[in-house]
Amino acid sequence: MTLFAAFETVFTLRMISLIFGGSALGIIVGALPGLSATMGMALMLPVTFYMPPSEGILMLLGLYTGAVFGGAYSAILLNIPGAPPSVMTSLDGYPMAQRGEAGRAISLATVGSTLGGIAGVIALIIIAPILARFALRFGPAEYTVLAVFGLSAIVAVSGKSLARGFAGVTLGVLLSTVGMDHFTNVSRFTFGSIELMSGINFIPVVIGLFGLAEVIAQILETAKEGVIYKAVRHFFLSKSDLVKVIKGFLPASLIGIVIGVLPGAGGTIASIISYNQAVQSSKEPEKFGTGAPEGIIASETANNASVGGAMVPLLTLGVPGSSPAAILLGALLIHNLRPGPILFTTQPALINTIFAGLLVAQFSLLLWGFATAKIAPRILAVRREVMLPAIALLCVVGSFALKNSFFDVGIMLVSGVAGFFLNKLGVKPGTIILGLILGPMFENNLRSTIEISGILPVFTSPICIVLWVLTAIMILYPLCRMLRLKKCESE
Amino acid sequence: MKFRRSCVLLLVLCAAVFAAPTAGYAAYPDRPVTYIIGWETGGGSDLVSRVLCAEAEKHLGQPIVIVNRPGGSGAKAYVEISQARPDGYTVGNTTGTISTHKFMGVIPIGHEAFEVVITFNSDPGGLWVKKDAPWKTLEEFIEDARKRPDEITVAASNPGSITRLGLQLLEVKESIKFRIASQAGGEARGPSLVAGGHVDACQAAPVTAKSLYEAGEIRPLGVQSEVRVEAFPEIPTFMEQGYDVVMHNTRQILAPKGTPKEVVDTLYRAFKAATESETFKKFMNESGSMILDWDQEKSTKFLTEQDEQFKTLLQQVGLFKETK
Repeated sequence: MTLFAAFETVFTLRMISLIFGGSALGIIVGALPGLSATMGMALMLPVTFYMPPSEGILMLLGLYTGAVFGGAYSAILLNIPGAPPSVMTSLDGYPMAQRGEAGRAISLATVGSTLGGIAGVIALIIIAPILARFALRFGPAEYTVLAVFGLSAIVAVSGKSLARGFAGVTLGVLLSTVGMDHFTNVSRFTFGSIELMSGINFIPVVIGLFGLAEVIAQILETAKEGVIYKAVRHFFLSKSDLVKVIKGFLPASLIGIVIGVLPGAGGTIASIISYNQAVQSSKEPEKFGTGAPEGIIASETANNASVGGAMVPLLTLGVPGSSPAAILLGALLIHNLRPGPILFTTQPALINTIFAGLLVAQFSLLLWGFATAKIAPRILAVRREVMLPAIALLCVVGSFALKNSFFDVGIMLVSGVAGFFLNKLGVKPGTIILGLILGPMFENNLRSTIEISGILPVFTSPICIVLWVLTAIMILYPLCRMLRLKKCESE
Repeated sequence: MKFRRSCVLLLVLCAAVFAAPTAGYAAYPDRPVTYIIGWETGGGSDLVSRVLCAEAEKHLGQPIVIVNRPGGSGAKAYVEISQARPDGYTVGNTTGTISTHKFMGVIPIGHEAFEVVITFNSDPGGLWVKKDAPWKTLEEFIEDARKRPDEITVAASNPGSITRLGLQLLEVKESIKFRIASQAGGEARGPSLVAGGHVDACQAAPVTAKSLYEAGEIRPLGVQSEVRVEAFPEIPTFMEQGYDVVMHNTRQILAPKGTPKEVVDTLYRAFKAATESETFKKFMNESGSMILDWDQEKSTKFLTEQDEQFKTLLQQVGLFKETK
């Protein structure tokens, strides 16, 4: 069966409602902080046992696609990234919402996500085997330098002061060292607590640093009555917005696809790198972080493009590169289907149905996104004395739900208070998150490289050299620009 | 959804407090059973448990509510299960870490602090090399390692993990030394590293390596079970090839110590029936995992022996630590 014929299978009322229903559910799961794509899919997994394989898989794929996009809602409206890949979205999405442009921000995220998602699926259909080969070439040395490359985004997320940015990243890296060291079995900074053995969880920290810190700031610093900020009615994209979407689309989706393919890297790192790229290639980098549409586009396009990318190692090699992919693998296994090169020859119909369904799922984002772009911002019309406790409650519930752990609620509260003061000191929460995500990736892979063959491959492997060059460009380019600006000013 | 489940759990707990004295055990189970998983949602233990529980609840006649309590490779969940009311309404699953934690100073309890309901699954260790690797058999590989100590690189998970212990058991028995590359993410990444040529070999269960093996990227040298794994009749065991190395990572279901025998038996029957269900069989066979249905007696005997094996091994590799 060809891909074309597969669309006939997908375009039935049943299939379409499963995909659209799945993605609606995904958006809700993604938008609620603490609930992840993985959780939503794991809960739906037993339901798929009793469906034909194509139906179950397509519903799960819809859910996955929706969840990656859904994080944008809470990131834009409440400054709480609903899921890790949306952290970068909140940097510009929330300031935009504060200006009253929440609807426009959601529309931007919708168009960016849909286009990125489509690009990801097309890459999956056309060059999956090549991408899979590429992913296998990434060993510990390559991941080490990829982490360094990701860290070069420090310039983009630091705001005005680079020194404070470094302080934030360092703090994040330090926090990431807490827990059992996987190489020596030594517990680091755990004070004998089993909770801390598996490290400080990243999501409660995000919820605290972004969400709760903002609630505290609102309580202490703004007027006591009225609403937090008003949403302007319009949510349509202007012509210049669309131009920005089209300009940002290509680099962001390329980054999303390539990074999404790498097991363990995924949407979060894709959106960091894409955001960084957007800042550095912009003529007005200072606008990022204050509500630049380009920031939302870069982040959302890249993280949804990574959905197609994440399917590459799963379908071509049977290797699940992420937790959601592992659940998809489980759903396939139940039906006696083992992904891998063999599945392409034995079940071409199913593979094509998956491709077609995944493509349709991207379009479902367009529908849900535009349908809610006008309604969702209305939540901001709720009076602040109701809204702020509600957000605080959401922060508590979200951080608890992740692992059913009150310890995580504690982590969230501490991060929230700390985040408020750090913000006052000019340390942006994004820098801490950067260190927290990339710190372990750098440390674990560097030490693994050294265990295998010493430090040399980090500098000699071809992929590493390319990544070093890219890192150098990302760091030197803004420095040169700053120097040039100073020159201009002095002249 | 998770929150609602938590609410349900809370209600169940309240109900337990009020209902327990009058309900008696004759009607067990008359309310939902909570199943605690000590690993993250979407992980290996999580998926296998979800498939198993979806089947078991049909035979139990009550829903099974799954709660994830990840932390310390199951340690957090073990403690929580051991402290639950021993009425059969709180159970949870283990991996081999039930026999390592107490010897490494993580938590002071092992399987003896529980009633073992069933052993439902085992994944033996295995050794894998790249498709075009120079070693054709396990013997060639080991002899080469003897000649070049600390040179052949093998990916495995962190020290003290069952995967790593399987590899170290081979080292101890044959007096050889590999250059072991720790992987923070567990054994899952090993096969990809072998296929990409980053390491010479990896230690991983067939369930982990199956995809890349079937894709023709990697090749097995042997599995560490007593008999060949049903899903892979073509892969020889270490024992067949003359190496006395057996290492299993098994999963049990635990109930708190003091759970009445009838309740444990009821649970055993429900979970045994689940292991025989079509859905569970398909899932396990396709993933390349072994199904077991050992009852309490057999499981306890196995775990007691495993404790001895792991204790000795941990002492030999210098990870043994007396618990406080």
